[in-house]
Amino acid sequence: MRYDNAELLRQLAAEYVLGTLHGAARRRFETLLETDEEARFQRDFWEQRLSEFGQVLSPVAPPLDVRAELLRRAAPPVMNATSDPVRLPVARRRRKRSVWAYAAGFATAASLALAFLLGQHYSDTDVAKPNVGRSPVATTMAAGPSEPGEAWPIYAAEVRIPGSAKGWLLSLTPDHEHLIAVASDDFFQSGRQQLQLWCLVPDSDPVAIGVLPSEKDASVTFQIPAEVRGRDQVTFAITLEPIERATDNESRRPVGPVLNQTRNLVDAI
Amino acid sequence: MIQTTAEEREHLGTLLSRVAGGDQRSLAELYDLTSPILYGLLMRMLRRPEWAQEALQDSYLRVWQRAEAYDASKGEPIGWLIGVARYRALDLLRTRRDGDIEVSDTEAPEAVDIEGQESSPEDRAVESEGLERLMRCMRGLTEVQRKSVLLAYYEGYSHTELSQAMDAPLGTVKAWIRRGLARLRECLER
Repeated sequence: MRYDNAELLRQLAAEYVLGTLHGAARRRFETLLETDEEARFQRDFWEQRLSEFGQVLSPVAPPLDVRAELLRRAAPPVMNATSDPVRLPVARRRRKRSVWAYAAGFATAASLALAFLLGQHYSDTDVAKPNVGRSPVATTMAAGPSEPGEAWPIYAAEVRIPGSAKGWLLSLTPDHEHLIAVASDDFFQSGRQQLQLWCLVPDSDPVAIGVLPSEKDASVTFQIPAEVRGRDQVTFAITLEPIERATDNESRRPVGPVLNQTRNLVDAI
Repeated sequence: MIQTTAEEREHLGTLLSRVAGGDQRSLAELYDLTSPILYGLLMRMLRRPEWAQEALQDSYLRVWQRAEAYDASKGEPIGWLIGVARYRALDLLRTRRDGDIEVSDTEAPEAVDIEGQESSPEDRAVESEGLERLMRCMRGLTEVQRKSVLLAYYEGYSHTELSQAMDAPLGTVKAWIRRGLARLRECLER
C-alpha cells in the first residue's frame, strides 16, 4: 500500500472514520496511525467533521445502572479497598469488618437479584414488629456530590420494580455513614401507597430504612441504622406500604407485598 | 439535536483534563452531561439496548483510561467522545453482527430520511450553526452518495452491507462512497 500517496491517505482516513475500511486494511491503517502524523491529521479532520452527524440524533438517557457500573469499574482503589488495607483511610480500616465496607464489591451480583418473592406478603405472623423507620437526612435532586473534591458514593446495590425499568440505586457515602437511594425513573403511586426500603439481616427483624423517592433522579439520604452495621449478611428489600402506616413510625411494620430484594450482599466475613 | 455553547464546550474540555488526571468525580460529571448523546447514537447504530449499554460503558472506560489523548486543538470534546463511542460500536458490529441484524435501508430506531424530509437528521441539523457547513456540503453529493455515507455512519454498514441495502453492485457502492467522501472533503475545505 502506497501511503505516500496523499490522495490515497485522505481516502483511507475518511473510510477509516466512516467505518467502511475493514479487515486487514483497517488494521494496517491503525498501525500507520501510530507513526504517521499526516495519517493522524487526516483522521482527526474526518473525526471532527463526521462527529457532527452524531449530534443530530435525539439524546437518549441510558439506564441508571450503566453509570453505576462504570463508576465501579473506574474506581479500582475504592473497590479493592478491603484487599489493600495500606491504601485505606484510617476511618475505613476501622470499619473493615463492616458489611458496608464490602457491599460495593458485590454490586453486580446484587443488581441481578430477581423478584422471586413477588407476591409474597409479610404479615404480623411472618415477622416481628420492625424497628422504627428512619427519616431521611437529606432529600435532593442531585445524585452526586456537590462540593469539589468530594468523593463519590460507593455503589452498593440496585432494587427494581419487577418487569419495569424503574429502580433505585443504593450507594454508600464514602464515610459509610449514610445510604443514598436515587430513583431511576418517576414512580407513580397508586392510591395511598408508597415504596418502603428495608434492610433484612439474618436472625433479626426487618429494619426499616425509609421511604424511597418517587421522582426521577431524586435522591434521599438515610442514616445507616446501628442495627445493620457490622452485620455479616445484608439484603435490601422494597415493599409497597400504605402511606398512613409508613408515616406512623410507632405502629409501622411491613404489611405490603415485597416487590424486590437483593441477594445477600455479603455471605461471610 | 444537541447544541453546545462555547462555555459548555470549555467545561467539557476541563472535565476531560481532570479525567486525564484521574478525577473520578469529573468522569461522573462528564458522563452525566454527555452520555445521552452517545447513548442515542449507540442505540441508533447497534439497535439492541444491551449492546448499546455495553458499548457506552466501554466507551467511557476508554475515556477514563485515555482521556489524555484528547487534544483540544484538534476539535471539540463532544466530537472526540462521539468518535470513541462510534469506534467501539463499529468493533461490536463487526464481531457480533454476522447476519444477526437484517440489513435494511429504512429500519432504525430513528429513521434517517436521506430524501431530505422534515424528520431527517440532515434537515434538522441545518438549524444548528455548527452543522450547517457539513449539511450544506452533504447536499452537494448525489443522492446515492449521500445515502451511502449516511447509512455507513448511522448504521455502521460495510461496503457489502451497503451493497445489499442499496441493491447495487459492490464495486458501484465503493465508488459512491469514495467519490462522495472526496466531494465532501473538497467542499469542507473551501
